[in-house]
Amino acid sequence: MELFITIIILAFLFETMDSCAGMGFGTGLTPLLFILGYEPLQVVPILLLSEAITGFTAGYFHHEFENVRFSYKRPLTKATKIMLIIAVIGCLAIIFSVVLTYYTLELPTKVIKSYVAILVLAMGLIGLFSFKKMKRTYKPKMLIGSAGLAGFNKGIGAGGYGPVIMMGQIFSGIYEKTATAIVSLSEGIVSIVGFASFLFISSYGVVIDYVLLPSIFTGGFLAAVLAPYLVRIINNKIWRVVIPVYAIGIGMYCLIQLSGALS
Amino acid sequence: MEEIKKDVAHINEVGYVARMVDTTMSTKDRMKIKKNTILRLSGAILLYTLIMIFFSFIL
Repeated sequence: MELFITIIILAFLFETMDSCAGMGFGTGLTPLLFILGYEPLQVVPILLLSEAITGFTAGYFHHEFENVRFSYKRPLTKATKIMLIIAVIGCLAIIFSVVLTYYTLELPTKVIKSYVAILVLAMGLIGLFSFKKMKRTYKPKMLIGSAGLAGFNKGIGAGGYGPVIMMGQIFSGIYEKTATAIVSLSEGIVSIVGFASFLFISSYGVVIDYVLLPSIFTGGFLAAVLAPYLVRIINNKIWRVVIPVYAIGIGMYCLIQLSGALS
Repeated sequence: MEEIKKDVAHINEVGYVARMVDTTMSTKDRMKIKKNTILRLSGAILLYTLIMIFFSFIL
């Protein structure tokens, strides 16, 4: 077993932001690891497995640090119900994307990835410039709509699930700290299904390389414990600005990557 | 009884707990960690160690 310091630091930074702002672990870390010379089968399933463990850890500590109240017994709290809705839509999206890959349906990758990058950028800009005017009433229909949209994007392989879900929750009137906690736990569940689908594919002869797992897990796990504490101590007014700004950053990062400047 | 039900419903609202922590506690108070939380953090460190030992065996 080998530990890579650079990978531990990168995983720690991206998981900290993911557990604080609800987005960026997959979208940010995957292309960086490709640039560092790692292959998709060394990166994607390992990120999913790591995110599965860290998602549950972050969700647990978000609950512990009172950023959210989850329940595992009936009656379920609203936060738990929302988390389950988001997770189920995400799981269906993963299964759909595996089916698409299985039937090798070719979609115009650049076009759909540009669409998601622009969508994330626009949501970030709207979130940033309208956070003062935004009415903080809970809108469940909008929440389900944004979960469906994020699931559709993930299903067609365009990514950006975290940013769309996160901004969708904020637009639906959910308190930022709680929205982050909900995304963390639901991403944990979605990642289990994602990793299981990779195991399914590996039974058909695709070999998963686990060399990065200890490093990504180490950085991710430390962040999953620390981030909920940061979310608790930093005031929500700050997260209200940081989250859309980070979404804008991710949208721009995706666009730059698509233009080929990073490769 | 009705009042208790209303209270519980309110607590179950999304974001209620986080909002209460933000409005009723100062940053300094929010930084304090409860004894139970320290125990759970120790549990997390133990879990991390066990998982890493598991990885060192299988990888």
